[in-house]
Amino acid sequence: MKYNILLLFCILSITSFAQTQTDSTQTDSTQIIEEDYSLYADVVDAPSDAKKKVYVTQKIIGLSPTKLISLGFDFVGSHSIEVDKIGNSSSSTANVASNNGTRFAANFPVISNNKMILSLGVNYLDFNYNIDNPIKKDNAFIYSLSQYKLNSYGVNATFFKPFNDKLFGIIQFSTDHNNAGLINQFNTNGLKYSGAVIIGRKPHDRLQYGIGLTRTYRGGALIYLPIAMYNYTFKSKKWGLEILLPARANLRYTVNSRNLLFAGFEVEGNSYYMKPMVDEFKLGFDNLQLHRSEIRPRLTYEFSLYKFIWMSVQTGYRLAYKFNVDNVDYTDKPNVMDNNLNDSYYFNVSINLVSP
Amino acid sequence: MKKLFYLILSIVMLNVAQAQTPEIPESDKILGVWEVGSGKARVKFTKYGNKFGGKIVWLKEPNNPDGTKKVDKNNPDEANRTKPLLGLNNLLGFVYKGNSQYEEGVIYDPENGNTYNCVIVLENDNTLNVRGFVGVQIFGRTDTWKRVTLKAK
Repeated sequence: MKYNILLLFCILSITSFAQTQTDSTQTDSTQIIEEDYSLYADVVDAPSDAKKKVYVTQKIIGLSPTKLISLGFDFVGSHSIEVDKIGNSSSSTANVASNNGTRFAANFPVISNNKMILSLGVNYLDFNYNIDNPIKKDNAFIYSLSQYKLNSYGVNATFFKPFNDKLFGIIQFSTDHNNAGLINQFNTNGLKYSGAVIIGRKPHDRLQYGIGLTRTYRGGALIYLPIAMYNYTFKSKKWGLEILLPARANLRYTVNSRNLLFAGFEVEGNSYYMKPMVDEFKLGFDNLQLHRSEIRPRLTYEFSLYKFIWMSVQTGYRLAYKFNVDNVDYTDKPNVMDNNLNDSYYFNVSINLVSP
Repeated sequence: MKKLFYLILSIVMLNVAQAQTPEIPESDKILGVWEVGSGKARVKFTKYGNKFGGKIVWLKEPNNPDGTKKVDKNNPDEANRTKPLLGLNNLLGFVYKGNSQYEEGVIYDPENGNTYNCVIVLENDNTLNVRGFVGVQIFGRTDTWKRVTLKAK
């Protein structure tokens, strides 16, 4: 019996010795001077508890880089506003010498891996109306625009979830505070909630598309709309389409990986609480909202200044779609003011930190 | 006497076996071939000095539509734009920092010619989390790679 135990020890030792042969792929490749890469075509997965699964990525080849941080300046040329009567003031026309503003956005991909991407963001933008002639204080709307900026600031979250190697879903939600007045004048009438849900498919590396639903203020007032997403890069990898209707659409031309040209349009808009009109003028309304919406056909040039620091230069024409004032507590009645904002050229420049 | 002989023999055999079975250092567990998350490429990690790096050893689509081999056409250095992607060293300079983490390295993306800071975490012996980022890690993306082994011939 004792001899058997000792014999067992010997057998075990020999077995252990035999297992010292290592996988040649784990040796230092400096020992291999020339590699036959065809060897790496025929492989097996190493044992793993997790079932290997391939997930679709959120981008296609050639898509313009995502802006992580963006700081920009927007300038609209001179134009006029035909203002409706309100209170004791009659209708009139005001000349806007220029309309400019600052835009800032930051997005932080707090979770970003194969299985999900969660990005949290903050944004700020303002519009400053430089109105020509001295403003009579009894013209509440023009006075408010000339004295106060339109401010918008908010937070947002975007969640991208791949279901498998083809299908994905996107949920986006944002909360903004929009008002005319000082930025620290918070009022719940200025809070606006927007969002979107998309279900999409990416059949190959150059195409992704999806459909969904959005709750948005791009048209000025709150509206629910279907949305369609379509991103495509042609086989040449020079031309592409980046579409998210009804918000925007662009034809993209890739000069090279660091220089991109776009032609397209974007619909911009929001609803702003006109606090000065409510507080300073006793008009009998308590929730006056400016419904602003415009369509901007434009040309854009984006280029890399240095590595991931990109610049965007954009020019186009601002087509005003809506610039009315309403008291949202009385949505079944006509607008309080039906104004007409005339069109003008615009220019936009921004500096951006873009995503890998 | 016989008992003593077998005992000594066992001890010697055990020691020889142990000597021939070196433990893989924690740092070297990254060595080997890995398939990227999309399944479109395989990268082999090797060691040079006290650093680790990876090179592309397989591509799912190694050729262009016209049949020519894919090259590093987006490289910011013109002189490198004709180099083939197969065999490209695209992960460089990783130092093992303990706790299954490799830092101070960079990863080069031939699809756009950009080089990113990178950290790698060995989640387990057969799973690698490779995170490329810009500046700070929050501005980045993690790709999960799986180990593969060559089929025995």
